[in-house]
Amino acid sequence: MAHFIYGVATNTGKGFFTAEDRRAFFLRGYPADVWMVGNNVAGAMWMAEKNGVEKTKAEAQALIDAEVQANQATYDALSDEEKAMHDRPGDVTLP
Amino acid sequence: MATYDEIYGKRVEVLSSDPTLSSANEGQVWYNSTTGTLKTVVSTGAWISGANLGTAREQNAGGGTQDAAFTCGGTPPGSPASALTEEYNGSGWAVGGALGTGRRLHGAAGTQTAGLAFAGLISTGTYTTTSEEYDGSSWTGGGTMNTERRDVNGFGIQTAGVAVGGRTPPNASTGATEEYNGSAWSSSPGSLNTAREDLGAAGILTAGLAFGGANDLDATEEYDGSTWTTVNNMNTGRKNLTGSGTQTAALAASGTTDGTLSPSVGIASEEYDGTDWTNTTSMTTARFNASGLQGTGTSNAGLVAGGYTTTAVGTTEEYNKSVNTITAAAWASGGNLNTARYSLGGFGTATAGVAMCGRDSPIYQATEEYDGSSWTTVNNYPQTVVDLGSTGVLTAGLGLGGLDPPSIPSFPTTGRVTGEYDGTNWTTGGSYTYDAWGTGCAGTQTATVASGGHNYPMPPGNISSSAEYDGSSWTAGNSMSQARALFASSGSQTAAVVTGGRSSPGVEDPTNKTEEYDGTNWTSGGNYLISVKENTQGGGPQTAAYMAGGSAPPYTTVAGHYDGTAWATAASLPTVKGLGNAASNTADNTTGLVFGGAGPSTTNTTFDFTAETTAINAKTLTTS
Repeated sequence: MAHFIYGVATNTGKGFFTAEDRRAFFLRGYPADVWMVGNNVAGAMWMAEKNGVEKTKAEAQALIDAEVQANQATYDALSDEEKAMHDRPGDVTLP
Repeated sequence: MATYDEIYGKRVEVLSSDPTLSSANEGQVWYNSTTGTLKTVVSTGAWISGANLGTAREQNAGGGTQDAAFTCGGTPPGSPASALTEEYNGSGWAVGGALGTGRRLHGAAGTQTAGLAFAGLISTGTYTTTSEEYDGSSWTGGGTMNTERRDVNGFGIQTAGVAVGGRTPPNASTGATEEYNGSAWSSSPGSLNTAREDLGAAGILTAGLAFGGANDLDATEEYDGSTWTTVNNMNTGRKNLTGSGTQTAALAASGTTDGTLSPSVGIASEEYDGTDWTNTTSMTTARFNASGLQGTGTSNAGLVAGGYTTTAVGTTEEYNKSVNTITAAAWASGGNLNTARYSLGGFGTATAGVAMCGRDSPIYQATEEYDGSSWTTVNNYPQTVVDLGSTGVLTAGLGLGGLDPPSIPSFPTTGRVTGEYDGTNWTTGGSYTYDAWGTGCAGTQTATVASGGHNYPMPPGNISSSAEYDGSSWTAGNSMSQARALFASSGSQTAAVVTGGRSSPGVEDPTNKTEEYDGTNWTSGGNYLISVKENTQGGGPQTAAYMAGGSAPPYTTVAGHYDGTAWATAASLPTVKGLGNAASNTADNTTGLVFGGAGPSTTNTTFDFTAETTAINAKTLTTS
């Protein structure tokens, strides 16, 4: 069995994940509203309750890549002076 | 020397049930003889989601405490240095006074009502030595700093603040320290032993802490008001991190090692006890360049707001370490209406609600009552209408006006009808002052104030008029400053609040304008979080009102709480919803009920609001 569930859900703010959630299952957020959730009952229930759309790891990674690439393109279009304010957004790889 | 056994007779107290718990019980152990378990109270920490910032941004800075914080400046995606301030009350962010000078990569300290912002960049490559003081509503100019710098941090309070480190032009790290006395900055004789920028900070002027930063990512130094002393390193070296707490109880979180997102470093969190750093539970979403709580936060109640992932974000995380289990405020699904509909009327409380009329196709007269879990169909409303005003409680409710779209010529008749409900039957009351649909109503059946609405067909347009009802007849009152229809209205006849709605005459644009009624006059209140219309889903008194959903457009999940002065974000609806209705006469915004509506499809869903709760939970000790 896979260790994690991947999905897309919009962080609605307060109450989106609680202390009980954090203690009940593993949870990590990534760009493109991608969430990596421990593959247990509590994690799966959380994803469902948040109207999360489950993805395969490859699909989730593709969504992250698309968002990062869009942000990289935005960065590349900045002036040299603005680029000096920030490093170019780096690639993000799901563990 | 007497032993514990000799003093107390036994090592562990045996109780038939768990004691009444308080934080004073932390660390105590007892045996519950009924359940046969060994129990204790321990504190645990966790990062949880906070309300999202109204404006996503990075390179912002802030101060205060977790339930009274501020963040200011920074840069939203693709935007120059911002002057925007937002205030957090533990539940939601509300817009505060704007900085006099937009800035980014600056420092901040102090509290929400006595804050300090200083230094930074006002545009790309342009440093500032200015500082500003915040009083909870507006920023005023403060003293001029001696060293211009960016990537600086600070701690302390407005009248005893400290700026430390940063980058000076053109490109040098500094260890320079300056102190602020509430009117002027002076250079401290002490300078960081390791000059650095993008560092974290915490504490007060006489007991400060600086940690991390470029180019010595894990270095920690303590400040005594004049001298910096190097102490033990952090476990996770990083820069662009946040800090909060004191010199002997500090919290470090988020950050980066190289200026790009690191999933492991960006979530790292550790606590300092005055001697050593100890790793604690990780954040959920990695980030850097966020805002923390310099100066007055604690290590048990941290806050990280905004920051950068691969773009600026508006998400917030709160760190809570206590013996309490905190259950965040949330909307949950309640029983479904028997008849899905939108543009309906409704009133009552979360456990005794009423819904009536509305449309899908056809138009409905049906009335339903809610008991906190399910809806029951009861006697019909006196007429077949949509978009009627409504207020009151289950045993004394009121409906007002409305429109029968297939029979527009009959509108002048339907628009003036008042319906009165006694918990069983509907009867008609006094004729309304205007021909109107989409009015807002507040108060009780015998003391109502109705406002706004649409007087279609002639003359067309939304109106600003209001009138009062005494249980038998309507009397025209003063007008609002904003014409509006299909908006949220709640409170009482002498203390009502309205917000949002379709605005100017003949125009369907949403508005964020709020107005308050004192029984005679309408005055402006704090603007709603967003411009919204068809937001007929609100309730509560003027000083503790709630509003949820509506159309921005499109339909939204955004919800807010009003304290009589300002709106703050509240837990969002589970799904978008507009043109529904709500329990309007709840005692305060710790409960709420919204039902029906469209999103955009017609729905029969009901959402119950439950406020945040805290409880001490005894843990069972087991062997494993």
